[in-house]
Amino acid sequence: MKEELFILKRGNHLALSKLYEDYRSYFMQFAKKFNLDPDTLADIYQDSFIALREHALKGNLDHLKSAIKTYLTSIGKYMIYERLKTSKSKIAYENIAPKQDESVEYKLLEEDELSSEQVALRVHFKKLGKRCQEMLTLFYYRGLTIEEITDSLGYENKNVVKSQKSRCLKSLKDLIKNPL
Amino acid sequence: MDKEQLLDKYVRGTITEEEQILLDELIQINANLKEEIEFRTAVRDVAGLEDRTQLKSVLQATEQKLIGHQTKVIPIYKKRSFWAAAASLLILFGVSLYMLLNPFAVDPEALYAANFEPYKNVVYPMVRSEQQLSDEKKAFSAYENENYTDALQQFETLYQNTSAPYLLLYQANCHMALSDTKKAIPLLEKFITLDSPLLIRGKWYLALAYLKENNKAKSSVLLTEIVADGSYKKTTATKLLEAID
Repeated sequence: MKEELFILKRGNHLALSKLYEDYRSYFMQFAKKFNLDPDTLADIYQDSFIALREHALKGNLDHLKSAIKTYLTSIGKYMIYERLKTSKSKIAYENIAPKQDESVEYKLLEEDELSSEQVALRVHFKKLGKRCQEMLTLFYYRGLTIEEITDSLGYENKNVVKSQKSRCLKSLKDLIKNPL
Repeated sequence: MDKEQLLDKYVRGTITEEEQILLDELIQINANLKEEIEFRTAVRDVAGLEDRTQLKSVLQATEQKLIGHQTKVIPIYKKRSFWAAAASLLILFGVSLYMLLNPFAVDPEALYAANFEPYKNVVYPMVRSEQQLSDEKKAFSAYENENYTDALQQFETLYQNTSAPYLLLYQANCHMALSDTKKAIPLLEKFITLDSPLLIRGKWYLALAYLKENNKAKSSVLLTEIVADGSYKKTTATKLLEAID
């Protein structure tokens, strides 16, 4: 696996922020033609980068033929397009609308779209110990294997991780039933 | 394959067609499984949202740092810039130690603080002679130019002449920058016995230094004090404590 892809899939936030720095000038060079203000541009770059990682986690980049940063700018283009569409910008966004074949649209759960159950779950999730939050995030969201979690978090063996994961799920259920 | 694994494979999106058939059969027999799948899917989504929110903060902090570098201004007040630099160095040192202990740990707060937290003039206002001011300036300047060996020597001389407690902290900073934690420890140990408004910061750096020397017990004691105090690095210290235990 390419190093960049490995970081996107397995890297922690510090490693990801380094990659963010590496790609930044390329992205900014690409985006400057849209004449966006610096804050908006930075915001779009961050969202594009987060979306890029999401694609990596979902396996969309596993067989990518182009360079990862090219893919990143496609996401960026789509995001700029979306942003201009909803803003009152005078820039003719039609000119930059992505062609269908290069569309990188995807849907992510956003904060304002949470169901009431999810909102409650989120509150309880944050009440879990950090180790449990980390365990559940690594396993269910980032898709690490039990073996990888054993190594990364320094657990004794796979069985400890498995039982710890079950305990974390149970704690979360208990919190939902009996909120503190 | 047990049903536990099947459920997780489904939620993680790695289930095969055959396994899916098996899972469907199991759900027919046991309706609770469906509920369990919904629960774990919601956990996945909420964990993802939480993770992305944290990543966004980290990237925002990184962005601020990059912009800061691009538009570097000449500091009006030397000491502030020194303290900012010293704080960045030490907190980053702390962060990297922390990352080492816990490779998937996330600490946007520390990352942010490492780069932007504007340090107030934390040193007591005091009367200084012209000569002393000029000597301090030289020491700071050496430090800022990453000339830690020279800076250290100058801080030592300044301390001999003035006994200002914060100079111990500066000296310890230099030792740590030179990867000589062993020499930083006695200075920090002395520093935290002295009355200084930077006491908790001193404890924080000492806790990190102990950690580097693998003295977890002593580090834990200090981190617990930092958490109890609550005024500085409470969250990070809590996480570090969790990582050590």
